[in-house]
Amino acid sequence: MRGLTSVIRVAAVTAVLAGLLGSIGSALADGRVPVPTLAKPKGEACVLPKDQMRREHPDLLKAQREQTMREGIRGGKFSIQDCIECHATPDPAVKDKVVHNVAQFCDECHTYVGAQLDCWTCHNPELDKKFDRLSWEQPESPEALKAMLAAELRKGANAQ
Amino acid sequence: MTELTFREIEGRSISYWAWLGVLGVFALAGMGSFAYIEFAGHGVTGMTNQFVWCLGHVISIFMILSGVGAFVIAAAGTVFNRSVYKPLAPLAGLIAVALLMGGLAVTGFDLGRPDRLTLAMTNVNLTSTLSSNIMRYQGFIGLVLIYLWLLMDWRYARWMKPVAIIAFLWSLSVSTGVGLEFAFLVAREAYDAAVMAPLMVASSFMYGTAVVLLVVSVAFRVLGRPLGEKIINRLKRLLALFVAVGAYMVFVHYLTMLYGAEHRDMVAFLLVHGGAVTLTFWIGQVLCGLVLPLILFYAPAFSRSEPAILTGAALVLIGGLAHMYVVLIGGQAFPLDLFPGFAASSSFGDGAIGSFQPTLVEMLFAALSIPIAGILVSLGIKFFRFLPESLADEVVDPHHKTA
Amino acid sequence: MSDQARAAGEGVSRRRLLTGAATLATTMIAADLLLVAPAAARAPGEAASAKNRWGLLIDLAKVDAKVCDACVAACQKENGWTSHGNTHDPQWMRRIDLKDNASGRQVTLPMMCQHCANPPCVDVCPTTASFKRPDGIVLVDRHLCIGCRYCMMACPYKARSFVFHAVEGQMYHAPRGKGTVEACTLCVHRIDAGRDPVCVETANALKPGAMMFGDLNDKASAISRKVSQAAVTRVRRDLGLEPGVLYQGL
Repeated sequence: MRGLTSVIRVAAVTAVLAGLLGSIGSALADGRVPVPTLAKPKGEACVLPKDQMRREHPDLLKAQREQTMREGIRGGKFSIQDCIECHATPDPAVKDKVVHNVAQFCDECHTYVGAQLDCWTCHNPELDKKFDRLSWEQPESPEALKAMLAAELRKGANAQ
Repeated sequence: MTELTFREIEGRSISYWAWLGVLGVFALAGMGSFAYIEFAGHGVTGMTNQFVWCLGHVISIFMILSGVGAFVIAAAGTVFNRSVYKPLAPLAGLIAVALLMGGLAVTGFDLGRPDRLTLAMTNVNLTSTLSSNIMRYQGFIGLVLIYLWLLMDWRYARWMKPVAIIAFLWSLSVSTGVGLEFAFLVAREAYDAAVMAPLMVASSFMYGTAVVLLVVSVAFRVLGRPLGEKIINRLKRLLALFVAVGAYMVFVHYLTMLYGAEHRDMVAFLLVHGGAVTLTFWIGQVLCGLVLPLILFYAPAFSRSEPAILTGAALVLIGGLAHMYVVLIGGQAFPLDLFPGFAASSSFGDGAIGSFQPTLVEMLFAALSIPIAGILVSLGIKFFRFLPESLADEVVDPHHKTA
Repeated sequence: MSDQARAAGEGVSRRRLLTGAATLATTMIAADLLLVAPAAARAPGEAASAKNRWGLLIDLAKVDAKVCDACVAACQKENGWTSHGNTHDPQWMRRIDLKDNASGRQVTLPMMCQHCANPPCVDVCPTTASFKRPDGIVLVDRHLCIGCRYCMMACPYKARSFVFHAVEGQMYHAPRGKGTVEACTLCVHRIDAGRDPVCVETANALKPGAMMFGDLNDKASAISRKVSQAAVTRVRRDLGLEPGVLYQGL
């Protein structure tokens, strides 16, 4: 079938051209993606040996995410929040204050190997003031809570 | 020359490339809008937490229904032994696949996270109509492609009829599935009705036939291939029948809604004081989509006039878009009734009629499905033998006697 | 080391919560209400169980616009979402003002995810992102959500919101992101730690007894005993979804 062969021919030529252009482009680009030089994390050791973490961290995180979210099992060993706790480094993008952010740490390797990372679209990569952020600082007496809520409402947090 | 032969189009003329260029510009505009929405978030569209399925769904559901309906023409020759439609089978099959792909592209791109589309195939939820519809769409495209191959490869001719029958039944399940996607929304007054399924089936026949009629007529005129009156008239008669059935289904739909006192406010909104929705219903869906085509197709004054037939077919498509707009936008504008018997108000649109204001990017994005389908059809007929060399009366009907 | 720090942190927060709960309980006794001991936190490693069915009872005789707004504000603060009343803003929880068409009686109530036993959002989700935890809490798995918004079409309570813009500054316990759908989690992070949802704590601080949280499966629980005596309403009960949020005095 002549139609089909010409389609294949066009597709093949396009693919070869695209490949050529791609390799020329990357050769022309100045330098390559830098080899990761990971900052030293907090603490003595990771929850598992380094080699194992390198290979298995996506699976470990995923397994725990399923357990925590679907089954409600809390207190697991491979919490993304624990990653942040030890591996967050000062964020160079924030000028006035020091904010520790884990995204740089993750990006170094992920960029190097070209693996897309999709955690920080929803999870906050910043190590906030306090690690234990189970909840906001809630006043201890009902009166103090009332006063605080009144202030909140005045701010128009729920402007209607 | 009375033998039926299929031939690719030359596809080297300036007008062919200009046509592709126009489609390409719209496709680029659509892709650009998609990229922008993807980057900036759906906040740059007219969508809100009240209007969650908007122009993208209006057009893509219309395209999907049209594609499914176009397959009726492709299958008619094989399944129902209507030999008059046989010359159109490859083209109608191509149109079916192209329209579906155009519609599905926009549905997929319209997701909040289009990058995760494959999740819908790896994490199937069997109770979800949307999930099973994704399988229906894929199966339909696969079956139509097999059918197209069998139409061209006569070594396996004995498989043609079984495949055509399965594909035809499958196509009915697709349009039924689209209807059920709405019918299962128990809390939405405008959708919660079993009649949504046959309504969508009837609508798909209507739109699909109209698209095939328009494409055949325009393509043969532009290409200068012979096109007889017979085939156009047959298509017109079929389309007129489908429009009549479609009008009846719309009538029954509203009748069932009106019957229950609980829905009367909602129907009154759609039909009387819904502003743009009401106008779209009466002028777009009813007048353009149903009444005028029926007049153009059945009135003796127009019955043999090709311009009238083409106008009628085009109006059917405009009516189809209006129909989808009324179903989607109208259905969502009317608030959910959480507390029957109470008047509700809140900062989240409870108890209030919502107003939908689409943005330009959203329109360009939604329209993307049309150039995609157009490009697929235009390339298809260039590279494959989809178009008959002639649709002259003596080719269409071997028993035709030249007067 | 991090485990230790965390344990210490938890110790502090639990102590704080216990004092808070004690004060709250005292207030409630004073108001001649039931003795509410917060549900016990599940031990680490223990899964949520179908033996529990978490639910809320909202007493509309005690809830007014002020209480509703306070709950909404507390929910925003707790879960890190904000709404300025724009059409693209999420509302995990909202205040609805009702007026009886026949009698003119006015009621105000908070509306959020009703944590149905038969949730339509779970039925329609094409990727199983919408799911119901064994203990009846309905959640969105943002790892699987593709943002198709079918659950928003299916929800009879308009309880779900789509995230229209990129977000940052999310709370640790409430991840949320552009292009996915979100809703009230019943403060699942608090429940797992043995605390009441934040709206319940807030409402009760303002009007003791306005909201009650507990296990609807446990016939001895305060909420079950109240439900078995008072006339309670489930919103759109006709749909057969069996919501976990109950209203008294509608």
